[in-house]
Amino acid sequence: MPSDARVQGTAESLRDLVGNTPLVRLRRTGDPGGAPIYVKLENFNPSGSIRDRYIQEIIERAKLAGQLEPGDAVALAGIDDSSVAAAFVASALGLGLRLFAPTGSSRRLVPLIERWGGEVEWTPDEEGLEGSIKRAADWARPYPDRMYVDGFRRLAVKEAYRAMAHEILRSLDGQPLGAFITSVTTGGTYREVSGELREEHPMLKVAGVHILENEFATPNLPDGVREITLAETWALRDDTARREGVLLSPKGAACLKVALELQQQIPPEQAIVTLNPDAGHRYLGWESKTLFRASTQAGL
Amino acid sequence: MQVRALSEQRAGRRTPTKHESILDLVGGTPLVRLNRLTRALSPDVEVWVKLEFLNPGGSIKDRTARQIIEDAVARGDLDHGRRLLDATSGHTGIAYAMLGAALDIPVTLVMPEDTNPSRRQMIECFGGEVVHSSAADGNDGAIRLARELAAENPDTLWYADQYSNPSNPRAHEMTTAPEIWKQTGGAVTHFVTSTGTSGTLMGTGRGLKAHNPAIEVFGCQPAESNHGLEGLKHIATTIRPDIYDETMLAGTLYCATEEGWAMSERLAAEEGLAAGLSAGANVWAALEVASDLERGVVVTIACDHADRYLDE
Repeated sequence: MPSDARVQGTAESLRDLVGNTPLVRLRRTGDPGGAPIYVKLENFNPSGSIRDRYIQEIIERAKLAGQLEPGDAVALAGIDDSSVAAAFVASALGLGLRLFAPTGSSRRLVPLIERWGGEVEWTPDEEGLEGSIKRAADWARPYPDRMYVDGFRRLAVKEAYRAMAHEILRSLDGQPLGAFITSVTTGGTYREVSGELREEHPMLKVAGVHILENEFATPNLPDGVREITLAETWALRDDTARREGVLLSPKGAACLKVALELQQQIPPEQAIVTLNPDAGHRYLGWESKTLFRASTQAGL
Repeated sequence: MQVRALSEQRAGRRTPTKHESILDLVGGTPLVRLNRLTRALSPDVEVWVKLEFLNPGGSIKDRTARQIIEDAVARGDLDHGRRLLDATSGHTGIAYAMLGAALDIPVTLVMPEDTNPSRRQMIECFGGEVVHSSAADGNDGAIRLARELAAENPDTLWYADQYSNPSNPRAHEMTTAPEIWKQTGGAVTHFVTSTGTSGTLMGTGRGLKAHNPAIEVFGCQPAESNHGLEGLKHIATTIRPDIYDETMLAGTLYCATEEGWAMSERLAAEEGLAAGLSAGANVWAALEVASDLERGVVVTIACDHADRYLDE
């Protein structure tokens, strides 16, 4: 095909399809005369979650710097959306992927990771995620063709999430943004996206939500982050699916819950943007199982 | 110097947009090029895949369901609180239930009892009602039960009948085909896809031929009557869809279950494209067609995502 024929939505690689996810309005949820609530559907990313953004940024930067070549392998710790994203990005770039995770981790995402060619090495549950991190780093460190990827490659994370903030502003097309609600796991979205959005909208209301899976509160949550129990999210997920035809993930439902609480504080001409960070349908059938504990217990 | 995210610097990206309804998110899916599975082909042959799992309900059936519902609403078929009824092997049911939730249209779906339980759960999550037909009678049993229910309850049920409803191919004629034409800049030479209801094949084929009658359209069916390619139809041994018309086709390829499955696995491992089993069959068929060409732009469809088949 001639290159000038390329138009929007035509991609030489799946990697070009990361980001630029749509916003969809919830029309029958909350106060009908209140500020409109838009959900940012991060499940439209190629691996199904927001994590494609920073994982791709980290791996592509490493590739650009000559640290990774086709045939090399990357290592990650934990089984979560970041590992799914890494499995996708690694496959698309011709890299191998080795994951290290505690045996107690939820197996929900494992078949998908394996589908993309990722390999999982289980580490002793009693060592927690810290043990998996150590083993992943140890596995990669001695070899020039292996790289350990963690979520804290600052520049890549910053840039990926800043890009997302620009996206949100662009898709609002001039409509003022009154509030932004995001889920908090590592805090990257909360810090970076909100920070960048505030450059444009200094009065923006920002809220973070952390899902609480058991009765123990998570230590070291940043200020302004609410905790919502996993059990609370399922009911709102079901309501939203039935009322709107939008199937949120538990994290997306938790964000929506806070958005609904905030709606009265936002003038009706301003938009509320709430995040749905991952794919709701991947939780069907997992409602009564432990989902996040082993991948987040190492703290934030 | 301002550092910018690499991902922001790419050409060919979608534009982030806001939508007033989930219905507006149906269609407009990306077209992506295969780079590794095509290495043995002539360098002047390109193979492109339309990523239908990036529809809001996760499959190409969102297009079908939207068109069927919109046309029915326009005709008044769904007036007086009538329920939409259809037989489905899963994805069309999910699409009906999702759009029905957004539009306040109640939905009843007939599915064989042995259908993947996660399909049923998703339909019920959207508030759809599921009626089971006997597993032994397969998809044809679901079609027959839907016909019976519709005949018994004409005042409360409207039978959408995706296998005969012209809105099904029309969805693809009006959306899938023009998107492919535009996305390839009019360069598409071959379109290849498998048949379930045959709506995608018939509608997209017709739509593309309206742009350029020289475009060759190929169908793909399971090689065996008893096959493991969910969503695909072996037409010779099952109820023939009224909308199916092979006179439009340049040919039909027959995909063995293992070949479809293997290609679906290779797509994920080698191209980063984790698509479903029908996508495996489609790409297998597209590569078969492409391997006979000196030059050409072959387009096929990834109907759904691998995550729909990975229940433990």
